[in-house]
Amino acid sequence: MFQQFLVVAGLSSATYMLTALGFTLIFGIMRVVNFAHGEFLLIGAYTVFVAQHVLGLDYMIALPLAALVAGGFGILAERLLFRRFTGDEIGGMIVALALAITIKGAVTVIWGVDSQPIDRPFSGSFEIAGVFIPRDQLFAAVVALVMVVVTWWLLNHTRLGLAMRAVAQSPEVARLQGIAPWKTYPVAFAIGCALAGLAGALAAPIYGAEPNMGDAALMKAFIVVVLGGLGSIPGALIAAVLLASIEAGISILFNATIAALVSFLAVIVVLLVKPAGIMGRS
Amino acid sequence: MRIVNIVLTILIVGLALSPFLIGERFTWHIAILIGIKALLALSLHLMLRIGQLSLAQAGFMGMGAYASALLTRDVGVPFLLGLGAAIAIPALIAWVIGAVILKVRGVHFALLTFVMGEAIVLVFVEFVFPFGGNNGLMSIPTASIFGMTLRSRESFYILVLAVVALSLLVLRIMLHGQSGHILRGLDSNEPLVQSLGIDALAWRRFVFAASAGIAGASGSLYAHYLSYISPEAFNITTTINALVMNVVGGVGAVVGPIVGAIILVPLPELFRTAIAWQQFLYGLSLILLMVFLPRGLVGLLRRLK
Repeated sequence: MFQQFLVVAGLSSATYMLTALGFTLIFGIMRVVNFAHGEFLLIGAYTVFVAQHVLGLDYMIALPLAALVAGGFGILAERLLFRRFTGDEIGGMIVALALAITIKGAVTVIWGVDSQPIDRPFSGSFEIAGVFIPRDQLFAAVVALVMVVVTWWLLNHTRLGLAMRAVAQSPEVARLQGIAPWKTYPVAFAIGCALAGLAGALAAPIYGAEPNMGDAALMKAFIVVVLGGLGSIPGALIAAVLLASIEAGISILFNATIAALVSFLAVIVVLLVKPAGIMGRS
Repeated sequence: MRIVNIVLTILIVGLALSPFLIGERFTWHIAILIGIKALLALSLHLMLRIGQLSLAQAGFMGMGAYASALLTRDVGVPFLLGLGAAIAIPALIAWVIGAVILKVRGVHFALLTFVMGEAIVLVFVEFVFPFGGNNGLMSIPTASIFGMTLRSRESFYILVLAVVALSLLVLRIMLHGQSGHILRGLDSNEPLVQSLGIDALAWRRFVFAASAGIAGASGSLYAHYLSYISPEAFNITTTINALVMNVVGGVGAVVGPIVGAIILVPLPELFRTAIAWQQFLYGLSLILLMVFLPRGLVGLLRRLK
């Protein structure tokens, strides 16, 4: 049973990290709470569906395409909407909620509420030390982890990453150093949305693509970033492992709904002790 | 500004009384729904007034609905006591949990209440006893006051109007005079409020509790009107719809959410065929309003004056 726990916790940690990373990156740099983050997952998943069933592309080509399409929509959203609400937290949140129901509504109007089939690139499972590991979930987790590492490297070892971190700390000081925040914002937003699109494309073959698939992912991302501290990337990574472990443990012992309730209680407890989150700055 | 307020008030009172003139079954139905949804929008409005976006309002509405339904149906409590419990239970829970979650503000608070709203719905789904799981609760008794059963839509509408009027009165008292100044201070300059020796957290907890109580009242009326409730009626979409009403009407004035409810509630009832388009159009109009008319219709009227 313990091996089972490790496998479930490990696989879901990776996907939680990927979803929460994009969300917390956008918040950290732009101070925007992207309530439409789950809908960018949706865009990724439906891109895979269209690529496979309309364009006849292979899943391995559809996967990066999904990230690109979601990133493109991200740039559009930043340019047309979020830029207007810089510094207006409540206005930004309302417009993000509006964008979320618009995207979900558009997907429902075009493809209906039914789950769309996605061809699986991998099937079956293999056994290590008495535990069955599904191949498709392992693939999703590995790609997610690789992308988390790539994003980490991008932020910490490139000039672009340096510029983004500078804008996150202080837009005014960054401008004095010749970094234009309004050029950095769309890049950050695009990366965050592309990560979400990728997460959606990775989840699609496992769970199918349907209009409400973003909701659960958004919930997890919220819990992870509140636990870890909004805007803190190390916090998000630690909290993703924490949440995945709590959920895996309780799902095995009881069931998934109790696990969701306990993860909410964990958020309350962490806030009681440290209101800014595990790695957050108040 | 004064004239606009008077005209709006006359218009709303006129609209509120119009079902008595039209007297059609469908009009009563729409009018009752507007009242119930307006209550939820008002509860959200109260939190917006102190600068906090609470996304748990539909959850509180659900608490009220389930409390009132279970107490009247299974315990046999009179309706008015059920309504009282539907106000008191969410208010008490909000007050207790507010001690923790109101320590955070702004985006953190919005995220936390979002998660809390979902957690409340999960409780209704998971605990089949007493909440009935995904099937919800059926055959909730009709509202009755002092032995008088409000079986007709007319009489139920009068009850809804009375609850809305009472809530408006509570909001007016809270938003005017000294407490009004404190509430405005909580929105614009909390350190100043603190420096005057006012316990800001206690005030925020009080406002959160009042707002949850109003949402609970809305839930109780909803349950006894439809005589059937299920968990998905109280998820985040319901809160977002209440938010849309606030944005359409304008968040600067108490009439805002009422105007929003009057405009938005009849739409889905009138265009049932276009149900798939509904969320899309709701979202699109919310985006357009936020971009082009951020102060809502009431704000527009005031600017025209």
